[in-house]
Amino acid sequence: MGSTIARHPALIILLALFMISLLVWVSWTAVAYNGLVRKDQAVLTQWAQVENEYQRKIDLIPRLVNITSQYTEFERSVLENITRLRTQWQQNFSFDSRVNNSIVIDQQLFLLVATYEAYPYLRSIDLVSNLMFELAGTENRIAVERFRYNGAVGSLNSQIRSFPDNLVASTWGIHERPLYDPIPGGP
Amino acid sequence: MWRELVRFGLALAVLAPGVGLAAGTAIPTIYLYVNDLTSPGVLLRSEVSDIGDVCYQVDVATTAEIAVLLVNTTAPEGIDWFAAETFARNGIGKAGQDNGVLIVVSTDERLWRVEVGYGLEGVLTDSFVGRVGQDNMSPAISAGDFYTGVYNGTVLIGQQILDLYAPPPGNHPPPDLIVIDWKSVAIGVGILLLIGVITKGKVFLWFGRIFMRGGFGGGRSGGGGARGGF
Repeated sequence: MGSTIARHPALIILLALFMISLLVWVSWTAVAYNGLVRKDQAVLTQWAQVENEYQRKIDLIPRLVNITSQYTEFERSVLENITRLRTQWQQNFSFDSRVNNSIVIDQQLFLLVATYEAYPYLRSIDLVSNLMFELAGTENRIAVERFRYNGAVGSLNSQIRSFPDNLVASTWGIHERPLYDPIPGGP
Repeated sequence: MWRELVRFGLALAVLAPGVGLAAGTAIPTIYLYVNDLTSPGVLLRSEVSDIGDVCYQVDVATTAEIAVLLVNTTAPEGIDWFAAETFARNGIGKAGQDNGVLIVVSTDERLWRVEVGYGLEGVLTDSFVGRVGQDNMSPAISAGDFYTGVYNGTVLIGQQILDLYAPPPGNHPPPDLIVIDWKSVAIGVGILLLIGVITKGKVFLWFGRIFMRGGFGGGRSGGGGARGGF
């Protein structure tokens, strides 16, 4: 075989090209896979941050209900709904159920805030206004973390859908992640 | 003619990225403690200095960084997102400590926002910052006195930091008030040298042309005058 290869230098070149191609393909696959894993982990980490901030809002609810229930301007039905939804949040752990649950909680809290803004005298009550500031602060934190989550998901999904990284993603079972989309039915 | 075209192309290549960045960026890059980007400005130079002094003292005493930004509008992002992005992109607060505060006032929208870094959330709670804004900033700003509103807010926030924030142990060098971006300087010098090599030094003569006089009047001579030796 050695003398065969020596007599056919073209074989040597072909073999060398094959080895180089193989090396390049393995290197690229490793780099692409590692990049996808890193981005996927970034999405999971960012979602954990969204849940962390949302938990902060959930933890605020007992104090919110306790204080606002002392004022007749706040509807009892809204406060009862918020309490019930808080319990549901704590019992549901799947992504879809938590997203749906958080949308409904936000709707009820919106009614609460609307009541606060409709009665100016409530702003003079320190306990109530402090609570509303904390609620607004928490809402903003959630919005920021959700934006960052969607950014991480966008980056991951773009890479998964791009050629040739889509080959690596499908081979190793790395899938697209859902965006945090409170208004479903978009593009 | 080709040399002229090459020079023109090089000039475009150098300037074009800057123009693109300036046209597309909505989030400002801020370097100073107090940044009045409104047009026309709402703060006098002395007022900027007063507020800046407060921020500097807090920075020296605790390493916490307070930045103040006044803009005409935060559209289309909205003040919440604008403040968060400005804070993140400018990295307000010391790395690893996240002890920054950004006070944003939007004059056209009549809104203010205080963005607090992670490291100061225990000291500057949402309710405290909300109270400062509602009771101390809003009344003055509503009356058109931006300086009083922003100054009072900065002082109260700064005092809260001084009272409750414990800086990390170790030596804290005073903050750098003037920071030279040596990387940008090196890139600029490199580009200038490259252009100088391509144009064989003639680019430096162009700089001289900036300062040349407008030219003579265009008079004529008939051979009169004098000559001598030494």
